[in-house]
Amino acid sequence: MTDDELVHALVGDLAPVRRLRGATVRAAAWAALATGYVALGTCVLGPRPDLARVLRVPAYLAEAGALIAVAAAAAIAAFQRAVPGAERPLARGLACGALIAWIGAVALRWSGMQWAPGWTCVARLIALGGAPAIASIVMIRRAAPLERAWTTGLAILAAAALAMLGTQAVCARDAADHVLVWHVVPVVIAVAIAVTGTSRSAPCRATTRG
Amino acid sequence: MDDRLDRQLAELMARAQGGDRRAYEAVLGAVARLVRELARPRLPDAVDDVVQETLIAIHHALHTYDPSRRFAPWMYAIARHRLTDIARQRERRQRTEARAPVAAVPHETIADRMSTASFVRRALAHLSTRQREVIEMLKLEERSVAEIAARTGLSESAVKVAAHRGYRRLRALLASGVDD
Repeated sequence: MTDDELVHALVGDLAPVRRLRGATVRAAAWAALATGYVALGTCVLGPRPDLARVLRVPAYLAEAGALIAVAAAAAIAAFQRAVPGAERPLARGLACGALIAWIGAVALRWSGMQWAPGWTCVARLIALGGAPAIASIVMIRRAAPLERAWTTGLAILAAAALAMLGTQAVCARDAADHVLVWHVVPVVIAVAIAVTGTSRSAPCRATTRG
Repeated sequence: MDDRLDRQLAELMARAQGGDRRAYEAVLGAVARLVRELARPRLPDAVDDVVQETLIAIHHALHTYDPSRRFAPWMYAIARHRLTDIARQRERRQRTEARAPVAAVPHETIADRMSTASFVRRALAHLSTRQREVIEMLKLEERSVAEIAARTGLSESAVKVAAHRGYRRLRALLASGVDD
């Protein structure tokens, strides 16, 4: 098939398209939905008894702020990466920076390892983060991500950051070892699975032909 | 790409997004020329592949272009990604072939080889997964292009392109005794 024949075939296949909204608008729409879902989920799971008290602790608020920054920056970075040529390194850098700052803040509270299973927190993370993660992946696949693996990884990270925020509001165990092993490690595993799984999956297709 | 051409292509893209076929044809023609210039120094023996894969990728990403932004970054991001992808595929294929070379069959004619099912199967194994699947569905399962498009999630144009490239490569493989 020559270029001209291909152009002819593609022109014949042309249908009016519904233009995709900007990355920030799409990220904001996702964030609004996801935040509502996580807030509702947190209420359903039952907030920790001392939530009113910890919400006045500056360190707790700083960690929560870092998680919100991770979620917002990772979501913007993921939606930007889903559009060819639209990515700005700033959002990705902010997401990484905020994540490192949050993990660092948690690690500073480290006071030794006390092995105690925290499978309930893993289940909470899945319950709170699953739906927002699926929603972000669906929204990203409606665009045209070139590097699908890392774009999906950032989307999962955004959803996971919100889920960790919700889990922190439900789980009263603030010890660094518990948070790092039972809140962070599952997220790292989820992102790793998403990145490797997506890089091997079939390419996504645009679905917004109108 | 200079500013004037960029603005021109952005306007044409906006019209193409509304369904204007003439504008779309002009955009794709210009993209083919620009991508050819981009690919020629880097992958001189795969320029056609890069151009055609880019055109198909642009077709699928049409709705993601925002006409208020410059056209060049959007188009070149897609083209560079396809170029890198094709270069990687070729490197992988060359590495695989270097590790497990398929011996040529010295005492047979091409016609003999072509009549041997195993020989054709070996040639098929050298195609990309997409090309192999498309050819198997077209020729072995006798499915229509529309059916294959529905099953694979590719557009009908992409199915035709994959089949065409697959046939071309098969021809080369069969003529050379598969050790391409």
